[in-house]
Amino acid sequence: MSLEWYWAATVLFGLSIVFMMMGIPVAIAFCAGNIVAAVLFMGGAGGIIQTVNNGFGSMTTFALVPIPMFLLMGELFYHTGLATRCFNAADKLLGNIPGRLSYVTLIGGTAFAGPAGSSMGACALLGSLMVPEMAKRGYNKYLSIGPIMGVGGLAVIIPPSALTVLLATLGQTDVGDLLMAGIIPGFILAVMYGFLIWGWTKWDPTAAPQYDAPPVPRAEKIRLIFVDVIPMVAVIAFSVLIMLTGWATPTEAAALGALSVVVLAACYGGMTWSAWVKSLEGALRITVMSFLIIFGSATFANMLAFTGASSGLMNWALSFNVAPIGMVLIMIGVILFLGCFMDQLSMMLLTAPIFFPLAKTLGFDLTWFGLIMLLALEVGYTTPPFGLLLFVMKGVAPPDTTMKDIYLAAMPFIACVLILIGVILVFPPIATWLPQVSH
Amino acid sequence: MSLFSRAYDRLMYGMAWCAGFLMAAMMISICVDVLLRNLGHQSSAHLFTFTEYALLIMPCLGAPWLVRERGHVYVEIVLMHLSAANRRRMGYVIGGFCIVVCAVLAWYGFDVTWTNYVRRDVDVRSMDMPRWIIVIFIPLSFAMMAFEFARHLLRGESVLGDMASTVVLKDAP
Repeated sequence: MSLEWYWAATVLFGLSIVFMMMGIPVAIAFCAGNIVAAVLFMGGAGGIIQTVNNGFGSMTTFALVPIPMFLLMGELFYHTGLATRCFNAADKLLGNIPGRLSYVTLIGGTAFAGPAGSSMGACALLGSLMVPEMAKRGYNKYLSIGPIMGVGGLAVIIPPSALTVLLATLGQTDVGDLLMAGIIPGFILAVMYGFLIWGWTKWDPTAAPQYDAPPVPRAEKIRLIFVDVIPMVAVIAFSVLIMLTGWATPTEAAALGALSVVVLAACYGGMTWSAWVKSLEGALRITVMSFLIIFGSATFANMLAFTGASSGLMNWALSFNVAPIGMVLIMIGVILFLGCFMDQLSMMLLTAPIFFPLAKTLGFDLTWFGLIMLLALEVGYTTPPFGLLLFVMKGVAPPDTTMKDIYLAAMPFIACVLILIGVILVFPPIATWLPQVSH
Repeated sequence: MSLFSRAYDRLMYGMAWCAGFLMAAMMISICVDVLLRNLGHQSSAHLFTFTEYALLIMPCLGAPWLVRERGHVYVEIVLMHLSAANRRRMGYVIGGFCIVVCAVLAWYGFDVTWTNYVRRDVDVRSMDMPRWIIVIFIPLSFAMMAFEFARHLLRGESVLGDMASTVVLKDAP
């Protein structure tokens, strides 16, 4: 059946989005959209058979191995109590600095959310754990909720991050490069967040009242640094460094990283059978979901190409003669819009097959573009009025927290991510220098 | 519980356990491979191939279990604005829809598997693997997913898990 590309594009995107909005599980919604489109455009049953064959090809791809491995690493960190150790150590080591609980949230949250690169779990955990504690200490809501909303932006770009691997795979760009590209911007963002909290407590000391944290003797502090901080940081740094130096591929780095968490947890006596089973279960949940989505994604991308929808959309977008950088801004805008009602996986799947080729046509470095997209995905997730993370927060925050409180709390942290996006747009080497050097 | 449902449950949970085992095996085999390489041994190309197959088999084995656990993400923005009664009705529509989609993919998946078997298609990687042996996990998985969705509906349960906006922490450390 031949037809204009825009009908094909409308059917492909429209059906998937409508199915998803109905509340159909995302992976099934994509498969359904594909089935209908396959029947329409690829000649009935033959199209569905093609879907199965494409799924086979796209799932048996070695580059996807880091996804389960990073997820396993994150779950192990969480269930064996290593993340809690880091968290408690940060709590004790920060002493009496103003706004200490906000910093603790930020550091702890990054430890929790890091490897998965997904902020929903960390947001739920920290929201129920830290917000009541901060409320008790007289912190204002913005300084207690804000850092939690900011954690995701940090977690998604600092390697290890499963979400990064997925985006690189969907965008057909180098997984290792995109993982490494996040390191410098990640540090910049962490510093920005730190300054934000510091400035806030300077400007309004009542926002985070000083209280006498139980004194921690120096010897205890030294012990904490050597026992509870350095080993955990070392494990993460190890898996990043072996990748950076080219000693191991991203896949190997991910597997070695997961194994080193097992060894470390065993040293601390946290590697129980139950922790192991829970970690595998947690990692399996997200792996299954991600891979079902990947199963649909190959056909989705194929169909976009086959029907001429991707080239049509690209030519259409290019026909406006917008400056390349303007085009990037429009793409960021689309992601922010989609973030109002979708999770990051779905947003990636819908946009990557169009955005990456478009970025390539415009002559952009795909690693640079991928990083910007990752940040935009996180901002979209947190943007008022409908960002999904806002609702997660509402669900776990104390009952007197209004949506407006959450919006206002999230704003400054979102602003930091937006500034970072701006900085990377203007100075691409922030993202591209490290991957280039490591080559 | 009938003998059939007990046997089926064993199969489904057994598959999920195998999926977990594959994930652990993947981690260990890659690490062993790195170790061997650094000790100067030639690593096996078959390991690479088996890992790729495991990437397909693992999610296929775990998918029916995920449906049982109601672990699939879904967009809740429309659902959360519905009344409880309408949400329940919508739950049936969603469940029915999922059954149809999974059944269609299972049907055509078996078709592909059968064709591969009859034509003796091989998947050429580091070795020649009969393709049907790997592909069969796709229809098996979707058929069992359809069955799991149907099971939820027949028991009058929702096929969807808790909404993120009402998320409850089950196993915080």
